[in-house]
Amino acid sequence: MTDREPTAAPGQGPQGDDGLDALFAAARAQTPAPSAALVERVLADAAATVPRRGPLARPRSGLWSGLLRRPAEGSRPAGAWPLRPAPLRPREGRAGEGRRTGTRPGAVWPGAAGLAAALVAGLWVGAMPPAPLLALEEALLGPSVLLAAGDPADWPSDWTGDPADWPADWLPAE
Amino acid sequence: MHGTDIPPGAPLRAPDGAQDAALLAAYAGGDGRAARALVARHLPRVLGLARRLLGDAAEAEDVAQEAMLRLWRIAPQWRAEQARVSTWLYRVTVNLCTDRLRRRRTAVGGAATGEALPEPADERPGALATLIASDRVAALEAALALLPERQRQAVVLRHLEGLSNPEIAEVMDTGVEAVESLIARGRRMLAARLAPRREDLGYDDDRP
Repeated sequence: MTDREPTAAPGQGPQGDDGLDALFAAARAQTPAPSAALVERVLADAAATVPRRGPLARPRSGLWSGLLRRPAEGSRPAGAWPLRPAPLRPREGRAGEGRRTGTRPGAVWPGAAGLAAALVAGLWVGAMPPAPLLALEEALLGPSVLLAAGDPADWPSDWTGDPADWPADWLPAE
Repeated sequence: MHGTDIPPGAPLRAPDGAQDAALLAAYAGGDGRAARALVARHLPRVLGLARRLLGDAAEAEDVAQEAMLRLWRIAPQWRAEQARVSTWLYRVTVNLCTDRLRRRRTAVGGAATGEALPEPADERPGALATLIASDRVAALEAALALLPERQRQAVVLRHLEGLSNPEIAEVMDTGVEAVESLIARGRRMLAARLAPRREDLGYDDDRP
C-alpha cells in the first residue's frame, strides 16, 4: 500500500514512450463528481442500515415509565441521524434492518402481567386461606382467640394494660 | 459535496486507513457525521472506478450506491487490521462491475468473459470509428472499453486510480506478476489503438 506511482508502467520501457501518460493525466483530471441525488441515496442507505446502539440507543427506562408512555424521538443526541424521508431507491429487505427504535412489547408487559398475577394470588390467599394453611397457623400460633373489647367508654379509667386487670367479660368464654 | 479535492492530473491518493477505520467505527456507533465523512472520502473514487469500468453513468451510480451499502452493512464487524476501507471498496466495486458486465454480455449473447474474447485487430475500421471522439479523455475511455475486462481493470486501477501493483493484486484477487502482465498488455493495446489518432488528439506534443 505504499508504492504509489501511477505513471510507472511495469513491463514498459521509459515512461512516455507510448504517449499514454498525458491521456491518463487528462482522464484523472476529469474524475466524475457524484450528483447530489446519489449522495442523498447513499446517505439514506447509511441511515437505514446504521446499527441502533451507542448514542442512538434509547436509555433504559423503568417499568412504570415504560407502561405509561412510549419513548418518543424527543431528546436526540448531537450527531445522531436526522429523521429522513424514505430513500429514493428503497431496497428490498432493508426496511427496519437492525433497528431498535420502539418499546418492544415483550420487554415490559410480561413484567406487568407477573406483578398483577402475584397481587391477585396474594389477595386470594389472604381472603380465603386454604385448610392446610389454617392448620399450620394453629399449630404454630395456638388456637384463635376472639376478643370482645366492648365499648371503650366502659373501660376502667385506671386500667394499666395488665391482662390480670381485664374485666371478666373481656375474657374468652371457655 | 462535489468531486474531490484532488488537483487536476495529480496522482490520486487513497484516504488514510486509520482515519477510515475510526470513521467506520463511529458510524457503527450511530454517528451520522461519520457516514457523511466516509461518503465524501470514498464515493467519488468508487463512482469514478465504476464509470470507467462500465462506461455507463447510470449503471456506475447504482454500483457505487451498492458498494457503499455493503460498507454500511459490514461496519459493525469491520476489523481495521484486516483491510483498508479504500482497498475493500475497490474490490467490491470491481466485482460488482464484473457481474454487471457479465450480465450485459449474457443479455446480448456475447462471449462469457472478456479474457476469452479475441483481441481485435488494431486497425479495424469499426474499433477505430469508436475512437473518433472530441477529446483525449473520450478517446482514451473508448479505447479502454475495448480492452479485455481484466486488462481494463488493471490499467484503470493503476493509471487512473493510482493504486500500487500489490494493491491491485489484492483488489483483483490475483498475484502481483499477473497484475504486471495485465497492465503491460493493456497498455500496449491502448497505445496501438490510439496510435492512429495520436496526432489528432495532440498528446504527441506532451511527450517528454
